[in-house]
Amino acid sequence: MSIKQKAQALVLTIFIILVSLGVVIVLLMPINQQVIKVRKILDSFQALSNAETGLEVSNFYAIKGDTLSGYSFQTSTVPYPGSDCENFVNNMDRIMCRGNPNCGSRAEGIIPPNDCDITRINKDIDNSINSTIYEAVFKRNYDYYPYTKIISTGRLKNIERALDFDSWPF
Amino acid sequence: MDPLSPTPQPMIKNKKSFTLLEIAIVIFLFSFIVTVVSTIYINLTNASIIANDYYQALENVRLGSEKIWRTLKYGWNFNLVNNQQLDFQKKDCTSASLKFNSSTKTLEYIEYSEGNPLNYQAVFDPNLVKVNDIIIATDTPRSTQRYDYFQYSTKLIVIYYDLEIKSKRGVTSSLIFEQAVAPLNSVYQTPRCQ
Repeated sequence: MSIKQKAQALVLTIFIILVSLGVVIVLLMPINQQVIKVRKILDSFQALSNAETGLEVSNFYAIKGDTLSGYSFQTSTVPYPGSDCENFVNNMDRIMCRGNPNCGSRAEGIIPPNDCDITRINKDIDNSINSTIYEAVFKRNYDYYPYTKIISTGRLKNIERALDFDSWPF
Repeated sequence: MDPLSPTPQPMIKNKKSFTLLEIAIVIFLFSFIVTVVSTIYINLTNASIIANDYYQALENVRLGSEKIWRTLKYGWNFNLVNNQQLDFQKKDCTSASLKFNSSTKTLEYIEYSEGNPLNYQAVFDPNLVKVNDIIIATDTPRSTQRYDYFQYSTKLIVIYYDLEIKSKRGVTSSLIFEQAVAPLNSVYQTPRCQ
């Protein structure tokens, strides 16, 4: 066998082995994707659980205005003159005040400007993994206004799960 | 030519064979590539096994937390003994307790009969899930509240889970989340279980 033929045999062998390597890696890619997927499922599960908890805590805070022993969170309430809040409040008033003389002008579903509040509730679960809960609650700025819109967002790493709930407790 | 001297043999040169160096190079290249491929294969197979174990553990966590949610949702007379133990009465008014055991690293669900433990269960499978910490928080019903609705019963229970899901390969992953339960029976002004 000449040196040229040997070189050809070597090149051919290496080429076949490299192609086999490529085929093996490509065939194993779904397994790799499965691993990444499970990681995302774990993160998503935690983010969604936090969002659900945020929804319950926000609902509790909106209705009772109280805190829980052993569970600390920060709240801040500011005026929220946004059209989304006004639309929500107007719709709820229009639905709930239908035929109720005590509602007065609220039954018409028209509220004055700047008549909405938003309460932000922030809860850090574990700073080390950058996991936080953020909730936004907005409603008409009356003390005992029962209808509240709650948007709760659970975050973990780069995954975010948001839940939207129109609270109607009574 | 000396007739007694042996006839010199011509040097045999087999052109069809490989030299030792050539064979050594081929064996080295083959071994190197086989090592790379087998390492990738073993790593990915391990990762697949770990992923399956994690998934199984996550299902166990889901099942356990769902059970807690369902039990607490229909519970009565909640009493937060400390931030790692919650006593309550089940739907059928029998006593039960949710307690974190820090020595065994498990979350225990204990049912009582006339004050004695009747049934003990680990909420999560210890082979799949290690419980690092549990913190339970509730609101406090206050008789000074304006509405009766808020005076008598616990409205919200929040449980903080710090878990570690385990794989047969010895690898673990942390699972930290919160779960909130608003007991359904809290809508009654007076407890149904006395």
